[in-house]
Amino acid sequence: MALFIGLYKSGMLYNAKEQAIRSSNLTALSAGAVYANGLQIVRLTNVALLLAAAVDILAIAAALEITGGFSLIIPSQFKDLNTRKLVQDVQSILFGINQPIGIYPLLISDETISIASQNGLKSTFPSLNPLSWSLPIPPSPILIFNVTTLGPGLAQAIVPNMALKFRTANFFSDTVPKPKKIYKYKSRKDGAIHYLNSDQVELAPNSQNKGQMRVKKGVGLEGEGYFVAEEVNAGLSKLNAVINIANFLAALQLDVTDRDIPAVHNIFVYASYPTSIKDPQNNNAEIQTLSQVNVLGTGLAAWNVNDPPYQATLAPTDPVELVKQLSIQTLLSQAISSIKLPSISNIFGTVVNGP
Amino acid sequence: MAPEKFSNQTGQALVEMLLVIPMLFLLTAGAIQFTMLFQARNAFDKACGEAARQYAANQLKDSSAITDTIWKDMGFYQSYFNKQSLSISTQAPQATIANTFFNAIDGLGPLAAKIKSYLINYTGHAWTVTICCTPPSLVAVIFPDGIPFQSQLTILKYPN
Repeated sequence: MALFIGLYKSGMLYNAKEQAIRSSNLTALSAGAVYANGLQIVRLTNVALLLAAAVDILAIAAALEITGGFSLIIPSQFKDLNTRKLVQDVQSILFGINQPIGIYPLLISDETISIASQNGLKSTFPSLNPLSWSLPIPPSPILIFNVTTLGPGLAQAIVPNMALKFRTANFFSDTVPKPKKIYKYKSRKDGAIHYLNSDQVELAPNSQNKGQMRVKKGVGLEGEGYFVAEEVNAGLSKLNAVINIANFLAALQLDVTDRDIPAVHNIFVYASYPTSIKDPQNNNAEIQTLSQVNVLGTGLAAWNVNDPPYQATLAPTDPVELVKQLSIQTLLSQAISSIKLPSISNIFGTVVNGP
Repeated sequence: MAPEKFSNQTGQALVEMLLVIPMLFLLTAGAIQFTMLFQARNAFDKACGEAARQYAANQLKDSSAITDTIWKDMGFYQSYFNKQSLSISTQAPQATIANTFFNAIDGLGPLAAKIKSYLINYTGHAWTVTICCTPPSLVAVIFPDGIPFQSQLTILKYPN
């Protein structure tokens, strides 16, 4: 009898393990489907951005009266309509670019959590209790977005994101030096001119010039202590001109593109699968599972809009992926076990059920 | 004397062994068949999951294709199942948040429907797959009518 009970329990656990893996795989694939749909929307908004840019260029051209006939159609008082900004603002809010969180990444999370519960995975999020101010511990399922490129820090990856950024104009010009600092001062030592920025000078007031600056002492700069002159026409010097162009290009946002090179779009689903099998403490045993889905496609630019849509594919369970997944699982387990959120009674020092 | 006649114990061990060996054989065979039953259940679940994955990847188009794939993927364990008992019931597509939102604005006309088809191109699918398992001979004594297995699958598919 004991043999058969043991067999039954181990068989049920084995089946539960397989069902847990299947459930988390289907949930991860569902998350990937919503993610892939979002990347197609990115392409469409990039097309809209391209159209907006065309309108702006036409308006500017009309204002400059270099297009002849167009200037008759479009009133010349419009210089730059900047309709691009409107589209970029929508993209920013929708996809969470340069924002703490976006609408679409939140949609991915919500849809995935909904599918997880329908696939039998434990879903603790709806049971958030605002009165106790405590999160369910451990929360399930946990979604990890684009973790590959973020290194060991999982904190950022837990916030829903789509690994996107705005492409800037300096993307097209590798020859322009990267903007670093704008040089505002210069000093002359032994006939050589040294350019300095605000951090490298200090105040050296005297009776004739209370605002006199000099090269900062004690930090190993060339010609330390020498008086410096302010670059009145800083923007006109060759160096500053190049840097200003670089800064301008770096600040000029174009379309939405992948945050990482090469592009990385993936989601990990870490979830608990409840079973009816009792553990030694007479609690229902739960199985932890982790699935990874990669969302692959040809690119997000406007000209990719007619390419095949992005596709969600399950990550292969080869040893390399398994090791990566296990390390993430360990990190998560450690993080969850160390979480201790305060309840309302802790915060106000009240005693629950006290005399 | 009679007691002397029956006091010879030669062959007692043989008799005991003859009694125990069938019991041991039954126990071993039962354990193996019990294990095979779990393996069959596991094969069914795996086949269902694989069919759902293929459906999500647009490799399968309808329920009959899913049924065929499930049956094919059960491989060796097909002998434990009755193919005629394999059935799939499709539930209504999941009311995803995005679909709920766009269904609400469907009344605005064909333009809203067109925008929806461009923006939200994923949809939910849920199936309940059932099959009757014909257990191996010893387990069949306990379950003469077979054991019904059921599997629930829910997935979002893109593109629709």
